[in-house]
Amino acid sequence: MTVVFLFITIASLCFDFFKQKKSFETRIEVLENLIDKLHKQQKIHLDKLQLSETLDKQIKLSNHTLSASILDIGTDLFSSSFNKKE
Amino acid sequence: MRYKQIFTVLLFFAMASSFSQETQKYLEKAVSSKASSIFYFKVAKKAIKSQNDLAFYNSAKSLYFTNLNELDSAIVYGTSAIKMLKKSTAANELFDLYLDVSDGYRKQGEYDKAIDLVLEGLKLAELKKNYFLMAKFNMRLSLNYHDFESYKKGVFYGKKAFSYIQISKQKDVMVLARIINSIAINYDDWNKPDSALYYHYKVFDYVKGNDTLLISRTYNNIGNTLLKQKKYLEARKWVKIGVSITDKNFKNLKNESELDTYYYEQATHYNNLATIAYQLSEFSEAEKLFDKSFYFATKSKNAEKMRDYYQHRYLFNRKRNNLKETAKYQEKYITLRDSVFDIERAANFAELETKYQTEKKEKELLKSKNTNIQNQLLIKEKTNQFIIASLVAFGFLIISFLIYRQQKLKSAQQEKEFELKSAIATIENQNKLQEQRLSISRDLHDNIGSQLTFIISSVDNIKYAFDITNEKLDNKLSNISSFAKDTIIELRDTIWAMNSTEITFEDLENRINNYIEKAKEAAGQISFIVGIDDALKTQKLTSVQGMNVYRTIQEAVNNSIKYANPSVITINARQIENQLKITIQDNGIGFDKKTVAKGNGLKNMQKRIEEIGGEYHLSSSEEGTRIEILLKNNEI
Repeated sequence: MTVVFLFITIASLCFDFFKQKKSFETRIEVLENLIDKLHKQQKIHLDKLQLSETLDKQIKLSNHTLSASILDIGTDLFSSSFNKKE
Repeated sequence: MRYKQIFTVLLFFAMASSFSQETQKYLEKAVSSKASSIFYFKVAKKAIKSQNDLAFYNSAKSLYFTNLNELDSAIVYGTSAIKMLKKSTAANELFDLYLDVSDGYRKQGEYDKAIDLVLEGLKLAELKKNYFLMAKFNMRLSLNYHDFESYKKGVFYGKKAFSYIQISKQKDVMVLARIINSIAINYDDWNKPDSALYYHYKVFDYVKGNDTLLISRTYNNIGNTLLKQKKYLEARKWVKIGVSITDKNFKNLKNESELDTYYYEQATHYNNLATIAYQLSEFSEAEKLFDKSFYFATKSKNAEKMRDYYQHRYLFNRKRNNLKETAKYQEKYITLRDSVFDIERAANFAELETKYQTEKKEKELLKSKNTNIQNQLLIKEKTNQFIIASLVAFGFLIISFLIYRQQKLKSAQQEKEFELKSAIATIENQNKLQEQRLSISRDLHDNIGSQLTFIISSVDNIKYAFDITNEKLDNKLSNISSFAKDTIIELRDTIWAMNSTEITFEDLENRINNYIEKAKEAAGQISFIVGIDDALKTQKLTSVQGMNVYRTIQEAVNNSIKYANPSVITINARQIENQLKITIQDNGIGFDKKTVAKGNGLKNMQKRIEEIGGEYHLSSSEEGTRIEILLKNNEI
């Protein structure tokens, strides 16, 4: 009787072990898929941030050029109107 | 003593049988009385109803004839009673019958039958584990072997009887004395007088006071032994004490059996006294004593006593040199001895004893076998218990190991799960931060377009409103306006890529087509051919990849329009094995890569493609310029 009980216990423990392993693998798969998804999202964000930085540079450059042009026009207009007044 | 025996037997039978109290009394009277015994037996016989009753009747008859010393009749009734009682379960009554009937056979010299009954009785006593009875039966064996002149066996069984009587709970001094006596007489006739005397004297350790009146034989036997040692005078003293004790006891005799004992003892005493007398050369005295011995031996009806008488008588006559008498008595002695002690009987004796010993040994063997089997079963049981205990211990060990393994796995799993969850949390946090940054960036960039548009419209308004005649100013204002427009377009492309999670080739194709439409406005003479493999249309690129490929194509087309003067510009995208091949080709004038310095545009194109892990190849000749972009599929 004791031997039978022990055998059942051992079998039960082995079954639990494999069940636990299987369950863990399933949970891990979900987590890994989630990490994979997050990584992809992160990459997308990084790409966007990179483009955003490029955009910022472009805007800065444009800003600088436009500012210079506007200043140039402003100078011309000022010098022209100053000459007229004189 | 005899009456007590009778009473016990009758009482026991009374309890077991259907005989009435009155009938039992008749049997008692029949056994004890001489005159009216026949009458009482007749009455008792009529009352017989069962086999047990008949056995009881026969037993009483046997006792009656034993008392009368009519051994033949005593034996007949006794053996019949034994046969009947064997079938019943009344074992206790059998013992006395065995003892009495075997004594009868012994007295008649039928030692083989005597031994047979003694052995039967002994077997029963051993079965009942009655040590007292076992002692009595072994003593009978000792006496029978003594009478048969097998003294070694006589001593052996005598000593056995002595050991049994000592461990028996039932103590009877007289029986003990008789047992010691049987050992002593065997030693005596075996010519070991010292041992014989030792045992004779030993009797007095147990029998003291008035009880010594009951052991006249012991005195005689001591005398007999001293006689053999030729201590005649001392021997005579002891034998005479025996004679006087026997004579004294004669007055108190109760029945024929006790009378028979008296005759037997006196025959022995006078035989010894006669022997002492002739050894001391007192021949006339010896004659008288031998006559007395003969008288008592005849009265005793004991073959052994007659044998002893004839033997000593012929020895006496031989000493006297009376050849005739010597021959006469010698012949009588030999005849009696041979008729009683013949070889066949010796063989029967031996056979009976062998049979008894064999049966005993077989029983012991069986017992030993049983013990062995029990031991083996015990060993087997213990082995099984050990195996089970080992299995149980091993089982517990395995269980412990499994539990440990499970806990270890759980711990490792929890650790890994925690790591992954931590990583997920970290990545989510990072993503949130990035999203926030993107959101902020989006907020910042949202207004750029409108601001630039405002600049453009403001400049146009200024030009229109103020009717600017200054060519220089007008050019500058136009430059600002066109720069702002270009900036808007550029920014929109970047914002388009930024806002897309992924860009398909189809999206890219649409964007390129939009750009080409605008390019056609500036270069209407150029024919644009855009060819994207259908298989690639669903191919996805990341926003950076899409942006970089688009900008490269844009730059290549711009350069072609600006410098190459082509008529056809072709843009192709194909899948070759595991590579994506994008080709921008024109049929323009080309340029010499060695002589023409690489401008920012060419450098940027190469840089953009290499940034996304691709290969950039530029070839130019007079027939046109070709730019190849190779991207591996697994990098997309």
